[in-house]
Amino acid sequence: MATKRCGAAIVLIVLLATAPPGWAVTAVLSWNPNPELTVVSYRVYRTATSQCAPLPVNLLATVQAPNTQYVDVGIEHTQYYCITAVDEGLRESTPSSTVTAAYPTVTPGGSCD
Amino acid sequence: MRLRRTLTTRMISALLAILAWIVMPTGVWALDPPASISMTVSGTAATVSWTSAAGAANYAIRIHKGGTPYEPCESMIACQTQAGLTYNFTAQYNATYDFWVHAVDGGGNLSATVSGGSFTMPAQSANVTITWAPNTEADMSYYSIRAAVGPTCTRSSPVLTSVPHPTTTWTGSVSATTNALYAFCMTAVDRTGNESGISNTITREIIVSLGPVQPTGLTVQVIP
Repeated sequence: MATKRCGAAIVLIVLLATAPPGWAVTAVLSWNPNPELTVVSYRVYRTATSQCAPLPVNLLATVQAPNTQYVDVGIEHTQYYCITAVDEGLRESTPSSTVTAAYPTVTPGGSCD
Repeated sequence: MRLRRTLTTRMISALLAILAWIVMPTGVWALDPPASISMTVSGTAATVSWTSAAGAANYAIRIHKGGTPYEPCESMIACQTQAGLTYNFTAQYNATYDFWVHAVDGGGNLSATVSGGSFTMPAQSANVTITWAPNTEADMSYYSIRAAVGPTCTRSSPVLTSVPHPTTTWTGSVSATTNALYAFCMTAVDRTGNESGISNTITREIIVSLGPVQPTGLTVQVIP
């Protein structure tokens, strides 16, 4: 009987291990300012896969320079971000390195001894 | 007799199956690769495209910049699997891109690699106009215009172009890979090939249309 209760507890913990729907987190992105005086904005790209490609479909936001921070509110899954710099001639740089905003999971604890 | 024949047939079938398994252990060779892989560029907007392959569920695209080896994935401009037949990215001037595409079937098996070849983005150029006073010698032949990166232009600087006498102006493009100060000077050459001393030097800042450099220092902090 005790084993059954423990098993039920494990099932419950596993169900809670991935955050329930609606439990959103916030990702705060920051980066170094580009050295060019002609940079007018930064494009923030977000993907659900680890290859963050600077494609229009992945464009999340445009941040006007000299701001170097973007806050992505309400993410409910692990997301990958990269940014590009855009100058006044609308020339876009190659993308930055990709960073990962890992969606937190609950680690089951305790024992069933 | 019939039993023996049946056994023999079964043994041959089994042997053939084993041979087939040895020859084709995976579905790699069964999948056709994509075709007609090409890269086109408009400004710095680059597109790698290809045609569909029979049996392909996805395509794995690999793009390298600068002639680096095929691996590792982390050093590539693109290293991903996708369903679409095009991949867009921002190219940089004065850089060479090599690209490959595999077809991928529903089981994740790759076709043979197909290289699309290389694409070199040109260095940018700037137009320059140089004018001078004509030489007065009767046997004048042409003017030799030289150019160098930096503030100094000498007789040993590379010849940019030659202009026949009595023309006294030249407009042309100077190739540049980055913003730099360029120096220009010239000599006069007569019909027997005698070259004059070097003229005065003029300089001009060449501004090329390179985009910004890649942003650095990107970090992310997750707040529950």
